[in-house]
Amino acid sequence: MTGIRKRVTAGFFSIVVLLFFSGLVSLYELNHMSTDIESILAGNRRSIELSESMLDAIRANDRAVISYAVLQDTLYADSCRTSYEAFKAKVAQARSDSNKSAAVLFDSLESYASLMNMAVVQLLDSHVIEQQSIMPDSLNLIAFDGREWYDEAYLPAYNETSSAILRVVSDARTSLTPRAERLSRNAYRAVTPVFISLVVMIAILLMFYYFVNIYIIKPIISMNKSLGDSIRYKIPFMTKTECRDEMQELKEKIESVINNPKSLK
Amino acid sequence: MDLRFSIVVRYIGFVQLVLAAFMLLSAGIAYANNIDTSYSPLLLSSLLTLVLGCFPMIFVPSTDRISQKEGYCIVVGAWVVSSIVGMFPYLMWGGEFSVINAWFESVSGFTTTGASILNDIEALPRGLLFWRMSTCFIGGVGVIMFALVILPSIGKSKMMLSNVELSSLAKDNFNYRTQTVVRIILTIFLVLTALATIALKLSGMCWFDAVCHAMAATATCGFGTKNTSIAYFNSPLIEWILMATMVISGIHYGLIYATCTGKHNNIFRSEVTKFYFGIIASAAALIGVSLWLADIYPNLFTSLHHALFHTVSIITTTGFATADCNEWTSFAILILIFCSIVCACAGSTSGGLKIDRLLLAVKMMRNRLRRQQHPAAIFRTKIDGIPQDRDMLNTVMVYIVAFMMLILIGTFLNTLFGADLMTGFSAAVACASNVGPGFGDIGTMDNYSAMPVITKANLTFLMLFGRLEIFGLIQLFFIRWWR
Repeated sequence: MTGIRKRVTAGFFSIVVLLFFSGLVSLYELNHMSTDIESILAGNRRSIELSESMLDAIRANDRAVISYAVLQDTLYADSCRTSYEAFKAKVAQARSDSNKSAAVLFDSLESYASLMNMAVVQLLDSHVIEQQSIMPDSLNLIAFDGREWYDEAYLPAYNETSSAILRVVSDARTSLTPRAERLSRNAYRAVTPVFISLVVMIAILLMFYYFVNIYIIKPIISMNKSLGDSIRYKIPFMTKTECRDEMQELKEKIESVINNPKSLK
Repeated sequence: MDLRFSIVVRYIGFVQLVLAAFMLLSAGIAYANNIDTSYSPLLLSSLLTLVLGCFPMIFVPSTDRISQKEGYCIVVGAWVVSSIVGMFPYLMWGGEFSVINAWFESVSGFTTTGASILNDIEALPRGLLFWRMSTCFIGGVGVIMFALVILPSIGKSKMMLSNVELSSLAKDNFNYRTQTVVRIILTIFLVLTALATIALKLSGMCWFDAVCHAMAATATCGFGTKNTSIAYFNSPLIEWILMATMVISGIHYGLIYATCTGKHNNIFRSEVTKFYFGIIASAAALIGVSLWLADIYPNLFTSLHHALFHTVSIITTTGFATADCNEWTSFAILILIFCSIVCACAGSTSGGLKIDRLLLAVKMMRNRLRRQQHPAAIFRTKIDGIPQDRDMLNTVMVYIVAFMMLILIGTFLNTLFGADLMTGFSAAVACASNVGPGFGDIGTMDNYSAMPVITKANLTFLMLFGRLEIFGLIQLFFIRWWR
């Protein structure tokens, strides 16, 4: 490559490198952001699903207990046991999907749930509901108040278990915060290098314009004017160039042709 | 000769290549430190700076003559552009670095001020810490000095860059060609840094801290790697080594060279150096006794030790600290403020008024009194037996007035935007003199992070004005009218 061509190519190459570089950094950081966003969304979705399934299971258990103990429908006795087993299964699944740091919360949840279940199992094993349902009221010696049992023996444990579920869900959501912070950091890191690259690119474009103007355009205009004056008014070809490239050579050749026409022969 | 903007841009480009090299070195340190979080910001910044620095060199042919006007533009332009480019790694890394904070930290580094906006320096990865030290190292040597080394035409041309880079007094003390001056400065700087590094390592610092603190002490910058500065190490040996490095760095580099090469005009004969040592000793003694009498330290020796360290640190414009000076007596604070204004010798990397000017001003005042007693007598103001010409003396007085006005304007602006009088005044002094820490809210154990954005911007301009000896920056605005 010769002087002018080398410079212009280098100028364009610098701009292309910066464009490529800023694009590359953006792609890299956006890719990171995309992965983080997917991970956050998936984590959030899983947390919602687990919380819904645990709450559904405990409510199903609650409905069965109310039907059995308060409404004294003995058909729900098995349902009390099966709904609790379903709830236990959901808790076990949630535990396996969660972080190790949530183990304490799951232990607490399981202990409240077992307290709740213990009350139900004791009631089921006493068969007091069944006895009460087959005896006429006048012969019923054991006056069992299902509503009172529900309020005093079952409901406190049920409320504690529900709160423990909410704590587990809340912890799952809190564990997403560091990822969200990383996302924000990645967003900053995606924007800043591109912004800086753009500033540098603008500086380079301005320099490129300036240098092309003073080292290429101005000498051509100056030589053109000087050559025109020389032809029209027969004055010596006089022009000044700051560069040491083809422009300088061209100027010297024109000077030699104009100022010494015999050299052509 | 007309100002050739393209030549100015070419040599500023040279300086950016030096910056790119240091960024790459910092990226290397980040890589060695298990690819810490500063690796990619430093690498990317290095690439951008490389492109920015190479571009003008491709277009603009080299020249063997640079005019005074161009020299001024190169120095001032290089400082401003370097400060902007120096922000890149900070901005890309994020953390505490907003745009204004990154600009403040970068200007503070390149002007060797050492003022910081960081609340938690230890949170910075090693790569970025090294880049922070590099800015003050580059600033210490002088951005332009780096550029001059690689310029092939220095020896032939009458470069005027040193007019801005060193104070005019210092330039007169050099009787060498520019190329020799550059070599002297670089050699002294590098040897001093290497010796300080080895001594600090032997005294118990790790290699990284030793290199960083040696760079900061030689450049009289004061950036550290720990939140509590030198107090973190709690080692009198480290403090003595740093004191020695700072004191030497505050002496005229030409005199150090002359002393090392056995020349007649050396440190021990120089009137300015004697005055410099005298002021350090007097200030330290007065502060030490004041601290001892106020029962701030248990004994006189400890009081004198802390007083000497802080006097040396402030007068050389370094800004290292072993204690919180806000706890000291008002008398001690006042003496330290005086040291912040006077600072060390011309021809060193320190800023401020320079002790040479103070000596001249004192001698001029003495002559003035003598002239009143003996109106017919002729008194000449001499330094080392050499009579100083009237123009030089006028320049000195004008500079002292301009410096005081700069501090006054800086204080006015700082207080206007909410700083209390002590904080506003000491911030103006600390930044205009390139000292770094001040008093009040910006004490030796505090930082500038709580300052409003506009105050931080104002302080960065004070740093630049101080570093470029006020007129260096002002003249840039009148460049088209120069003759």
